[in-house]
Amino acid sequence: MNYESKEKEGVVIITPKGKMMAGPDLEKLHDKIKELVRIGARRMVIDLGEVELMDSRGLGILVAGLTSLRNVGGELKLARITNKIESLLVITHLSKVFKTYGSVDEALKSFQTGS
Amino acid sequence: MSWSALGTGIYLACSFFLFLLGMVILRENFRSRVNRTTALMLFFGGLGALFAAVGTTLARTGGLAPGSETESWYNLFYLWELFFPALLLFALVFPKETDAVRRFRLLRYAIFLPHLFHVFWVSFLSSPEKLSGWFSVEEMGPLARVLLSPFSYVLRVAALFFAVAYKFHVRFFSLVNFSYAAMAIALLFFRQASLPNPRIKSQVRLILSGLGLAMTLYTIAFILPALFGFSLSDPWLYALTIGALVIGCGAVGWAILRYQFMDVRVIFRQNLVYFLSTGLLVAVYILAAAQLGRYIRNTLGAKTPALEIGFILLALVFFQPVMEKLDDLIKRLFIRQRSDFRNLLERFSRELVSIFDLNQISARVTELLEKELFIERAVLLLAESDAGGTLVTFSSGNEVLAQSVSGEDPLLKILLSRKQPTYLEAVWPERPDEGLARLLAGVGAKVAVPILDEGRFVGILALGEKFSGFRYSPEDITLLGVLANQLSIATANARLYAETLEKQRLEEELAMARQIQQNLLPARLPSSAEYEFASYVRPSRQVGGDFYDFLWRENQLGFVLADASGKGMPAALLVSFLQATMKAEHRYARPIGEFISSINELLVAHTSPEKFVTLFYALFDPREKKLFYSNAGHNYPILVRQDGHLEFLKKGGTVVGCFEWARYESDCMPLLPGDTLIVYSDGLTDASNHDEMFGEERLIKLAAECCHLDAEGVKNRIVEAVEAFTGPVPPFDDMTLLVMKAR
Repeated sequence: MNYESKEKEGVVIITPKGKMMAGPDLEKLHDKIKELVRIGARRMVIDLGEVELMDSRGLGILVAGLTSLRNVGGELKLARITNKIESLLVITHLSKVFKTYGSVDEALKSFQTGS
Repeated sequence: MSWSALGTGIYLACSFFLFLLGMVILRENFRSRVNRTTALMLFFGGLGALFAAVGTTLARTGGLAPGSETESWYNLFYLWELFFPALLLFALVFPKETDAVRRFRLLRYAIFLPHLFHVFWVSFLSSPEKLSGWFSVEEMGPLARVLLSPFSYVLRVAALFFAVAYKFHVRFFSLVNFSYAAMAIALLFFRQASLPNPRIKSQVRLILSGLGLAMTLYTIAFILPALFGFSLSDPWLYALTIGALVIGCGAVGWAILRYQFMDVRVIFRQNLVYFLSTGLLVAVYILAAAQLGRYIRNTLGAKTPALEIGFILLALVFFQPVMEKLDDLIKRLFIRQRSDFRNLLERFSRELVSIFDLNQISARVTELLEKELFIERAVLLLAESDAGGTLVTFSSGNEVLAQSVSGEDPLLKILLSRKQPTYLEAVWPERPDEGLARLLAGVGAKVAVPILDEGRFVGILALGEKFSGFRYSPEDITLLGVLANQLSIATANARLYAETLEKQRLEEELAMARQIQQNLLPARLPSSAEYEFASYVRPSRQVGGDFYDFLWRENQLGFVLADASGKGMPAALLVSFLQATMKAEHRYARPIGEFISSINELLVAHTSPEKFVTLFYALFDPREKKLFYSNAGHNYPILVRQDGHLEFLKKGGTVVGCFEWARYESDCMPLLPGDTLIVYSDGLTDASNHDEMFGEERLIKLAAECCHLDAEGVKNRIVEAVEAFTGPVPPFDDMTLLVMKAR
């Protein structure tokens, strides 16, 4: 797994690619998110469109990111979730916790409109 | 050829040998007291031999008539007896200074007094008549007579004493010499017993036996005849004297040079060349100076004192650098022969490759160095972390001298940049009471050898002063450099070995942890007339993040299947915590939703947010045939009705351990005889055969097919199907399956 991260309109967009599963690469992503929050990022979109698989650890990273951002008054939103991830979110009832959007642009727009 | 001519020749040879030996030892390190003392002793020994040669020549030519002019010169012969106090001093400072010498500095001069007095005595008071004149009041001037007349009695006694002393001075000093030699031998004998270093011990023993033998011969040749008034025939006398000289001084010289771990032949050849070339240089200089002086005198026509001073200054300016260059050149010429050196290196490498324990390497190396290079203390300091970091920790041998040294330590930086054995006095930092400098000073280090492994800082070999006080020879420094390379390899090996051991130990611990986890699983599955269970557990890595357990509440049977996020040890620890919490919380007969909420709160409070657990909890009432359950983010368990109809148990809430605010719902289902409940962790449906996962569809289809089987039968069908699907691919995630059949 690897990831790209960029900033657009004051929102950090992270795009993980491949398998979001337990391993050193996933921990790097975890560290990256923690570091971004530490240096002041408050709005974040995780674009999951290019994630093939996700396991419980991958889900844990998303939850941790959400928690840490909400603790500082920020928000983490998910974009382009695949069917598999959607069913994972539904089973774990996390679909009610995360705000999910069909595209990154929609997610960005939602930050501006405050919805 | 007469005996005496042969004797003269041998005396001269002995004398030359002893002077040469003395010069070699003096030149080896002029600043060392041991060296100076030894050289002094050898010079006096050589003087003795030289005087013996002169004496025999004079006796042969008949120039030694009593009262003749030569007699007073001949009395200078007694100068050589200073050999005995020098010998005693040697015994006091070799191989190390005794406390007595260190505490009473005057002692080392005081022991020369009797002999100095003797020399003075025989040189200036050549006859007893002269003596009695000195002490006779009658022969003094008028003033002295008046002043000293009350003491005339004392003076007369003194005159008598001196007269007697003069008559017997040879005998008396024979005794003194004998007692000095005996004291020296006794001192060496008693001190060698307490020497820690076996090789130095054997060197001192060599000196001891040499000196003992020499003193015996000397006693027979001179002291006994002097005491008892007989004389030996010349051949015997020569044989005994020469034997004593050669054996005694030879033993001392040999022991001293061997003691240095250098090839004696090399030193001798080197020094011989040095002296000969020096002699040549001096001769050339004198000739040139004389010629030049004559030329200047001829042209200027006057003898100028400034000229002499000019020559001396010229010599001082000219000789010092030339002699140094000469010394260097000779050393370089002779340094190639070093068999000892090679043997030592070979031994080092042979021993080091077979040791895999850092402490043992450290102990062995320091022992070898202390023994072979005669170093008072050698310590191997090992760096625990990389110098690139800020902290470097040292530990040494059995005692741990652990101390943090900053990567910015000035001394450390110098040593790392020099990469070779370094005399610390040359690079000592301004503040030697800090960091590495303090540590090195603490172990008495004089030389530090940095040990590097491909540029990585491995440690420092800290070496104290040489036991002899000699400086480290160029060979020593080369040897230490090569040794540092070998040590870096040996320590790397040892570290790898230790890592392997550590890995093994970790694996053993993991196996133990797995055993503990296995023991936490219910030993027996509950069964009754109303229900039965079957279970399957397969952790992906030794210990797993899945577990199931049964918790009773009066006559109701509670059971849980949970899956902690992640794998391995962290997941297993989380699961253990959960299991204990559930057992404790289960005692309070609260509604299921509240029960899960309390578990959630405890987990949120005690774990980081990315750690969570999905769990399915159910409480079965056998009498009512009802199943109460709550599903906290877990894969939906499949309820297979007797007729093959499937239901999924979804009611509940989100995962446990993430959100403090999470609330959990519960549901109640009738569970009738023949119904089957299949609870599993996602490891089962995620099991893959490289291309695809086993998946829920396959499991659901399978579940529908086996509604008629008993619990064990259902479990086996599913496990067989999964194993057939994945083939030899090892499980990526923990796999747990719990099947309940109502009856």
